Amino acid sequence: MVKICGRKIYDHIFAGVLIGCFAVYLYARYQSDQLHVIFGGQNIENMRPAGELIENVRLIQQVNIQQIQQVDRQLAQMPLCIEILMANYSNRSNNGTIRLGVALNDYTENTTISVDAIQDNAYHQVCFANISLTDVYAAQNLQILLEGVDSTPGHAVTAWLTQDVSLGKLNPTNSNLTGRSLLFHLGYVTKSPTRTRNALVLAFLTFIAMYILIVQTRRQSDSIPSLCDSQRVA
Amino acid sequence: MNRLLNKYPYPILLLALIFTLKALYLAFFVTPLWDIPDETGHFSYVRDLAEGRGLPLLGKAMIKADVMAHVSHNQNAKPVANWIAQHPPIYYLIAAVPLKIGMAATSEPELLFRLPRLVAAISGGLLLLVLFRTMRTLGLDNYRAAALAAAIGFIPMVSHLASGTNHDVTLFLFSALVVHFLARFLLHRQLSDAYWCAAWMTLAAGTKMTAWVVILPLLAVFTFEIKGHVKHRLRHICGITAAMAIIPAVWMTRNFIYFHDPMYTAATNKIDQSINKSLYNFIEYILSNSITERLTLHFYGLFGWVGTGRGKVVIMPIHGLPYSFFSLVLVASVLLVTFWSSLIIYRGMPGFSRVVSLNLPNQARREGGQSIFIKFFSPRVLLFVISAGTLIFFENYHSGDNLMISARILSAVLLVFIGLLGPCALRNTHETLDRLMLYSIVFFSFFSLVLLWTLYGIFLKDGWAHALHGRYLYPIVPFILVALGVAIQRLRIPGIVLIFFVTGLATMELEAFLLQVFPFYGGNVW
Repeated sequence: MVKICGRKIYDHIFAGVLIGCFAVYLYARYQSDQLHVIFGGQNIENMRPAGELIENVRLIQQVNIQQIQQVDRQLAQMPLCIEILMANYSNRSNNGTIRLGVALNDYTENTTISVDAIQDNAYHQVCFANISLTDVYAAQNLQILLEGVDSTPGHAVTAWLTQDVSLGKLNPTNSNLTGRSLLFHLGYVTKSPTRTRNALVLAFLTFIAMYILIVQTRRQSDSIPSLCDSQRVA
Repeated sequence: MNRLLNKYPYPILLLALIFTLKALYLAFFVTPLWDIPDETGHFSYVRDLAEGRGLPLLGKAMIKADVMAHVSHNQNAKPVANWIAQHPPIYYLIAAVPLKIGMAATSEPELLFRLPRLVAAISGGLLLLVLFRTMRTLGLDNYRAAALAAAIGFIPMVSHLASGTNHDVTLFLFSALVVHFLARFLLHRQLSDAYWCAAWMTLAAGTKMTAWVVILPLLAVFTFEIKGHVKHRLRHICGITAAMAIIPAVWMTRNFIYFHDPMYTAATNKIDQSINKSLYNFIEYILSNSITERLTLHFYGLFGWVGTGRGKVVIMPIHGLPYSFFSLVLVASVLLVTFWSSLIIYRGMPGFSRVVSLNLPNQARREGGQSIFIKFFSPRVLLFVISAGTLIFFENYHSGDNLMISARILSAVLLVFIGLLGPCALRNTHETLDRLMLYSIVFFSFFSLVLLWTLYGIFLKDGWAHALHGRYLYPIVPFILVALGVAIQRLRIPGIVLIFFVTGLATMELEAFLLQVFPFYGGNVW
């Protein structure tokens, strides 16, 4: 049998295939897109969920548009992206869809999201291809729309609300939620070379560690007897 | 050199080195400044020492304006009180060394702010080595010992904290050394190990007051385990007590002198919101606030603080597949520990064995853990475990929740069942490894109950459930790892099974950083 570094070649192939599978899996999911926030980031104050986003539940978030940070002319052509802090009730099994949209003066653009894509206590990001930052700067009024479409009670997701309304207030259908705000960011997305460099370094270190674990520690163990039989109390 | 390599074969040295490199890379290139919990306070404490101002005094210690300006990106920021001055000084004395050296070499604030991060990164690497040696002491081979030690290094929160200025990873290291020498003492009966254990205990206690909770049960173990003439026992118990208590005693004396309260902390004089205890008793607090789940979630990964939010607290728990996989590992570990410790209790409590009418073969009693699945297995035990597991799983499956709930329930079962019965079984448990396992679980139960009770007190005082940080468990995690190590050793779990779980944890940690942490850091800069 061919041996490399004292181990059968099969061990190296096994480690290589395993690490390769993990690498492909991560590569397929990795994105170097980075949201550059131009507006958002409220204080976390007395947080509470907005309740289940089921049919007929509609949250309209006013955005104090005059506070939005300006970017240079080239970046202003980028599509508007928003992200909202959502939750799925501790990763329970939910079904149905929600609608997330932006209303800019009289123009509204929506996107429908399967609730399966909503992660627990995480920001969910959506970009609107037909709305640029230039449109946002020119607008008089901007609202974020979040509504339930066809989720059933007990199987719907929710959004987190804060009492910090300095960036805009929520107009909910439920009066119990007045005086609150969604936690959101507005911005634009670009590729980030720094993020890719960081990802490559971490991936390299992790895969080397995995290779050592799979192949080398096993090789070291082969020649060392177990100590386990000598520990009875005298 | 050969002696070192005999103790620490080069694969585990490489694994520890890789962990340290990872933590250093995160510290200097990824983790934003002030995104480690309380990092502004920790850094200011370290800087007070490095600049020769002595130990900062709670109430007078300040986080200077330059740090606050860096945090908030506001040059007019004002200094604020440093609540971190409540902590004992051991970690800060160590972390002041690289800062002091750095201050002589550079005045670049970005670099100086990050220099104390070196200590946590190196502590993390050493932690893996200590855990490895402890597992080897338990009798695990290199393969399995390295897998268990490395698993800790693939928990995102451990990597995250190892990349920042904070005392938690150093405390983790000292606690692991406490457990290492406790295990050595129980297995080899050398009194020098007991004194080493006490010495590391006092250093752990001098790092964070959370570790003080371990002192009392540790003393109980030594009182119970040191054999010999009464005079001999008394002499050494007194010696060990003194060694353990020295730093806490000095710290309490200091607190008494300055604050007239030996246990004084930043929370002592907080305004009491006085939640009605009759409305929220201890059990209701735990159940209605998902306390165990939040502690577990934050143990696995809670990123951010005021760095990403530029002065505002912005945090993000790790979620999705990485957390689900960790839950799976947690459930598997809890089941292993519960299974083996239940058998120990069964063997150690004849009355209990009659109640549940389990009948282990005599041959198996003689042979201990050998060939457990073939020789030692009572079909009724198997039936009991499978039935309980199935019931728990489907109960939660129908309520629409996920595996994590099962982990929580099983953890609670472990706490109550083993924690209460464990001490009763100690007298008749003669296998040293099994005794060590029972001690570890009792320690874990005791520590967890004290922690939960303290958090309940904070809830009643502050009016909301917070401070639910998984890192508070670091002083006790080495104990529960030892229990897991014993279960793995006794049940002869093959190394390849561990490697499957540990490489899975490694991949999930990488996924957590690539798909959640990097976007979180990048997405909140404005």
